[in-house]
Amino acid sequence: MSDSSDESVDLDVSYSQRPEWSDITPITQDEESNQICRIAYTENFKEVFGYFRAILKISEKSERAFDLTKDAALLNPANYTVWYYRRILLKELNKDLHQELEFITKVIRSNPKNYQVWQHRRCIIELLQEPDKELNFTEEILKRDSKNYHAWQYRQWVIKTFALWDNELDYVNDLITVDVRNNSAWNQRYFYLSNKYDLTQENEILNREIDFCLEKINFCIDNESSWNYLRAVIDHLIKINENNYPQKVLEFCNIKLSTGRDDDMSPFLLSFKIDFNWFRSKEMLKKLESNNDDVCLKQNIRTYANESLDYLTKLAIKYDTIRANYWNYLASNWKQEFGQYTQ
Amino acid sequence: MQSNQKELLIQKHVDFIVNYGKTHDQYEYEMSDYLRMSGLYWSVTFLDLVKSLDKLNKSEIVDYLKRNQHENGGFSPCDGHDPHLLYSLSAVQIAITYNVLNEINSEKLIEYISNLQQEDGSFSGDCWGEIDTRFSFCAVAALSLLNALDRINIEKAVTFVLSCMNFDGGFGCLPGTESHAGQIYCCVGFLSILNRLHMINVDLLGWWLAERQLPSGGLNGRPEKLQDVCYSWWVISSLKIIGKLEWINIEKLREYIISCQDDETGGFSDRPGNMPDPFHTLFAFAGLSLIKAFPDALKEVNPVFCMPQYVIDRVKVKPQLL
Repeated sequence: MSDSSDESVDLDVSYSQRPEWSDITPITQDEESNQICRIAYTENFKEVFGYFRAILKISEKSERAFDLTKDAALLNPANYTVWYYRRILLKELNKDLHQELEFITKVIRSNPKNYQVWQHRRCIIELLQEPDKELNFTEEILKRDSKNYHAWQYRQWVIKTFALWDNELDYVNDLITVDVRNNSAWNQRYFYLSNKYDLTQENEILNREIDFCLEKINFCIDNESSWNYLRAVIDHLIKINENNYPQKVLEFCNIKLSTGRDDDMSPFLLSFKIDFNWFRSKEMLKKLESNNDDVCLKQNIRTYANESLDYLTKLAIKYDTIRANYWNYLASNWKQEFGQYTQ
Repeated sequence: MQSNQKELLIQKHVDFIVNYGKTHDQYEYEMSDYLRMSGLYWSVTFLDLVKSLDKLNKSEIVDYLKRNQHENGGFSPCDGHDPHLLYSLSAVQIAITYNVLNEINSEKLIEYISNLQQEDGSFSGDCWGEIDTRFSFCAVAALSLLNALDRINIEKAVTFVLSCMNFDGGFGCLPGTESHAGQIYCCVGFLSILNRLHMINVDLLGWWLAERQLPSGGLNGRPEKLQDVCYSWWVISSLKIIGKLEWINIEKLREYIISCQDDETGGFSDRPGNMPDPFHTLFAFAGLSLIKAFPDALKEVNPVFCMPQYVIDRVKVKPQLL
């Protein structure tokens, strides 16, 4: 739960004691009639929302109503009706949107994991058409929690809407340098890449990305995020040109696999090599269709299949036992597809 | 005190749920009033799964549903809130479970939901335009239960959800956003209801989902996040739908879920030792039902709707399972 507790709304004078509110009768929630949804509210909460319901009912568009939505929003920032009504009032009363931006900045700082507050900020920025501070603001929030989904989603919206791509790769690089396992940052890297470039064409860019991945994997081999990203990049490369399989990736894998050290035997590395073996074996199987007597091809398939089955056994019984069924499933695929070549 | 033993204290959990709202922490409860309708769905579904639905007063619940349906057809979570797609699905789920669809205005509701579809096929959650694949799921789940899927543009809806598919096989809430187990459940469930599971790269997604299992046996929702009982539901229901449930270690998951049971107060929490709540209690039991952990005590759950299977059978809805 957020730290926006009751204390953050200090009602020096309760609404019922304020002369300017004397014409309004608060509407209390019908609590007693429904045992199922009976709610025990605190007094502040009850009072503010009692007046809020009354204002809502008569659709009052006034300064006092606007102030009331502030108390209500602070008491419960997840109450989307309060924010909606506040936006209606912002327009009707022609309020200063810069002040509103300051207000929502404070609210998000204390409630960064809440759908409504980010949606409100987006509405304000849409009206203002001033995205200048938005990247800095999301960076401030992501500094505290680098995986905050709302902040990332909002940042993507800002970047796309206002075409603010220029510094994004640097930012992502910084985040990955600080925490190489930050999956949100890797995702943002892909978001940047796929929006900025046509990945069905960009050989050079994709190769640059491969180098980047290999460096990060070399630094930390057991990292799901970097391996997933690498796979995606290679998929694009192969689509550009089937014979384009980046040899440097294969060499990298082989060096790691040859150390024989348990530390290097990441399930992601083994799984990557197994998938490469599958890719190559399928290619050779195709060639065999036209030349069934090619002993060399058969021998190669046999090497790939044996190596893969060996790794899959090790994964299932040693390196990743919790997913043994998954690795066994892959092994059965190998036996079904290439079993005749392993004998 | 948390449980290390494997006993499931069903009666305590029933009491916990039935008394929630009477004895709960006041602050937590008032802060969550905006999701009261969903809270009711969690409670109703949990109680039905443990064969104790009679513990709630049906006529009060029907009243509650009626009171919260608005003129535009949508449902609000409780008095004084605006209608929203999230609570409209919860309301339909409750009405279907109690078999009281005739008590609400279905035609109006169908109209409300269909009107939320956007030009690009996506759905907004309400009239204010927030878009999210969660809302695509809510819309088609509700409409399929109301037998009204023909009222939206299905092809466009599918195109939008597929545009949120990521390079790792998962799905986010909008195109380009990070894969997240909760969103994956919504998108996989959506494709299941619309019979489009062949659009998924099952091996890639299945592996990503299986990677969510941590050494504790619990599952997280994204890489490097902590395990959480609610994610056990979102991950394993997705795995079940694509036919890969056996890729994770079921026994270890079962142990993890049970370890989140609060032996003293009843209820389940996200992780051992934390405060229990109805949300995690439902998803703990839905998970236990899906892995058939206590088949005599728990009714079978449907992985797409997170409702008892007999209810889904009764309305003759058949989501696709691989």
